[in-house]
Amino acid sequence: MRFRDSTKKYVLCGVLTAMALCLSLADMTISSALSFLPGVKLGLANIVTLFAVYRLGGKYVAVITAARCILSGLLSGMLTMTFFSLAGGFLSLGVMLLLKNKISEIKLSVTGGIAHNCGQMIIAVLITSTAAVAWELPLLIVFGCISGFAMGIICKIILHRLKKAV
Amino acid sequence: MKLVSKSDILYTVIIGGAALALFFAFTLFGGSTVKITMHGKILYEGSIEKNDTITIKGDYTNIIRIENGEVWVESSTCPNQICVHSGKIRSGSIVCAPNGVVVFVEGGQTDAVSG
Repeated sequence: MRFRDSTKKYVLCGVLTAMALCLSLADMTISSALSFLPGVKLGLANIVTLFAVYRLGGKYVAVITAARCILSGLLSGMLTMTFFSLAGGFLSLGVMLLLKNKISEIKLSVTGGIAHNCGQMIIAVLITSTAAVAWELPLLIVFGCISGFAMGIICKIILHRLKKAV
Repeated sequence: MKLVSKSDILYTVIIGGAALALFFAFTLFGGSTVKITMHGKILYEGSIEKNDTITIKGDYTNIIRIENGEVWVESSTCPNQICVHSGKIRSGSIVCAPNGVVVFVEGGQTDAVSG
């Protein structure tokens, strides 16, 4: 039983990584087409992360997030972006794992979105060595809230529908 | 299944609203001095009212213009072009991460942010 359980988890891990990767690449394309403010993204890959936070353990989500960030950086050809997505991804993951059982799915998604914005801003400040770039953070957080809310709803529906299957 | 609770909406609106208010507070107290830095080193400093064109050469080349109280990156040889897409600003900043360049408008209340 133990063996079957862990095999199932590994397979699920692989499938989720592939899904997260596709979503984040699609996200880049959609967001750059809509591009009204740089740095604003839909955060589609957050659906996968959120799902994995609830259905798999912390270490599995960490592997999925790391693989997604590095692979999407390599595939999109923008290596600087890898640092941004790694920082955002892991800060948001850490916050979400900490608060997982304390707040509702949607609140968790919103909080994760904000943490993602903060993580990326930390990298932006470090790369440019200029604190003034943090000026944009409040506006990013506004969009982080909206997208976090939307992704939270999607994830809640998925979690509910896949109650039996996974 | 109840999808969204009232407290979920309240939570999102309060945080989003607070961030939006903060953003408007920053924008309202717009600055007057344009500064351009590369990897933290100041390369240019001048009034936003003075028209100017600045070329910054690093790993990539950015051409930055100041005109009619607005600043923008006219062109850049970097791959992602985020700085060019940032458009014209009167306050705040434009970042070209691949080149390590930041263009920002400083003055008034924004001093607290830029440290």
